[in-house]
Amino acid sequence: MPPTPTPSANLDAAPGQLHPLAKQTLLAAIEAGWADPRRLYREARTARAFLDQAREVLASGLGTRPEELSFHAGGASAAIGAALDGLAWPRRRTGEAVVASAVEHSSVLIPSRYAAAHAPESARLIEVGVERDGRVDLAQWSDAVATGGVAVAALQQANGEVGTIQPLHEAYAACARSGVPLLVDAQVSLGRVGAPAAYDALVGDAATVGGPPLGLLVTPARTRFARSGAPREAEFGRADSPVWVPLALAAAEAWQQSAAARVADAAEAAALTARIREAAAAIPDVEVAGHPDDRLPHIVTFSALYVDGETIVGELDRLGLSVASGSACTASTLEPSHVLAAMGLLTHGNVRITLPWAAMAPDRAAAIDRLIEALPGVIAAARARLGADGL
Amino acid sequence: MEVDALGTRCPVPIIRVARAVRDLPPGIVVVLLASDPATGPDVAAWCRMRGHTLLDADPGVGEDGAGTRYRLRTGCLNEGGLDGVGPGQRHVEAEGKLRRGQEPDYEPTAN
Repeated sequence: MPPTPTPSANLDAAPGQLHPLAKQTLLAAIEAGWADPRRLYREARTARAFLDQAREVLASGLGTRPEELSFHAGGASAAIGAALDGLAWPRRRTGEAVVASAVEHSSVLIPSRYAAAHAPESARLIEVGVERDGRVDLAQWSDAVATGGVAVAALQQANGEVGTIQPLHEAYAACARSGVPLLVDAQVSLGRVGAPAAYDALVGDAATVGGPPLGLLVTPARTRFARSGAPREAEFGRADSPVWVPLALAAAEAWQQSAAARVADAAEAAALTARIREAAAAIPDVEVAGHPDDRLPHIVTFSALYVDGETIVGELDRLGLSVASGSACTASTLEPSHVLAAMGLLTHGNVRITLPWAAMAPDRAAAIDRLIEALPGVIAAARARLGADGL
Repeated sequence: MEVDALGTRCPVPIIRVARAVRDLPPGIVVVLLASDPATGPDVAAWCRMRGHTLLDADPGVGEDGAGTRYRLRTGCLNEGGLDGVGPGQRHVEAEGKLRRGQEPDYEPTAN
């Protein structure tokens, strides 16, 4: 008798699959909404109506006005780049320094580090440390934004690797006291938890809610915002290129579907990730990362001492469980996770789980059961293989 | 005592140094040579988990200069651990805490 095929479960929804209805909308919109919305004939007017409708749905969900929301075809990274540029350029006479937490997304840190390295006279990056739970050090943050010459500050709503939710209210208050605009990066959280209230610019990603990758940037009318360089036409002058209308429509459909499911989905996801946290912490020399309570409902990560990330990801894959890892030596990177390092945690033996929505993964609770059952053995075997048991 | 893990990838440097200090009494200074970029954060985290103290880290070691020389002092958890607590259950904060998000707050070098 042939062996029963292993059921396969994706526990790395970063990004996850398209919501089935977003997929349907995307396909229908490819048929009906393909035209350039700036043209003047019938198909173009249809596309224009679709784009306006998508913007209204998403703006309403984000509690903002349609003209305050721009779509960025290059995804969240493009929206982050546009936001940092558009907030900093009007303040260039004040300075060019950027304040960011040490656990910001690479789309914030890498361009800012590059700018600081290549124009050290003017552009500086002030990286603010975090506590071991991943929350930004607020005293250090307040000092940093009060430094002369700061153009813009960036802080995530929540961390995409460890799930810790940042004290945005306090961080925003410190920025406001110093007159520094705050970019809130919600690219992993927007739609999974409620939208933040306090920001000068907000970035999200439609992929977080089961849409296609599409950067969302909210710039309230009160925010001073102007891009550097040549004037742009797309998206109220905020984006580098126009959005493809079917993507915007699919994003709006995914938003509507997930908004209706969000509270129940988050409660269930938080219970599942709490089970993983408990099971992982019970394994000897495994540290669970991130704040135990102030965290995203669907993300959990932990590190196992004396284990290599590649082995553990490979073994779980053999069992039909797809997980990510912040360890170096895994396929995606040679550098260890800057987030784990900034938090003072082990970077090797790391496993990161990003739960998909129940709508895309109705069997996710069963997958967590299998993960919890497999983990102690997988970790023990990996340690034994390296001769590290009992060290 | 010196442990050479140059050219090995994570978590081998940590396993080698853990094996080397396994039977050492507290207060012994051990040197770890490693070139893997994960060793910096990992040796700091391991010291915290095992009660050792990371003293300093000097880059530019090895033939190509890509290695780092880490010095650590074995801690009191190393001599049989706390009462009845095996190696797997040693969750105690080390004295040399890190200022998170920065380089380790090293003690002054004592020769």
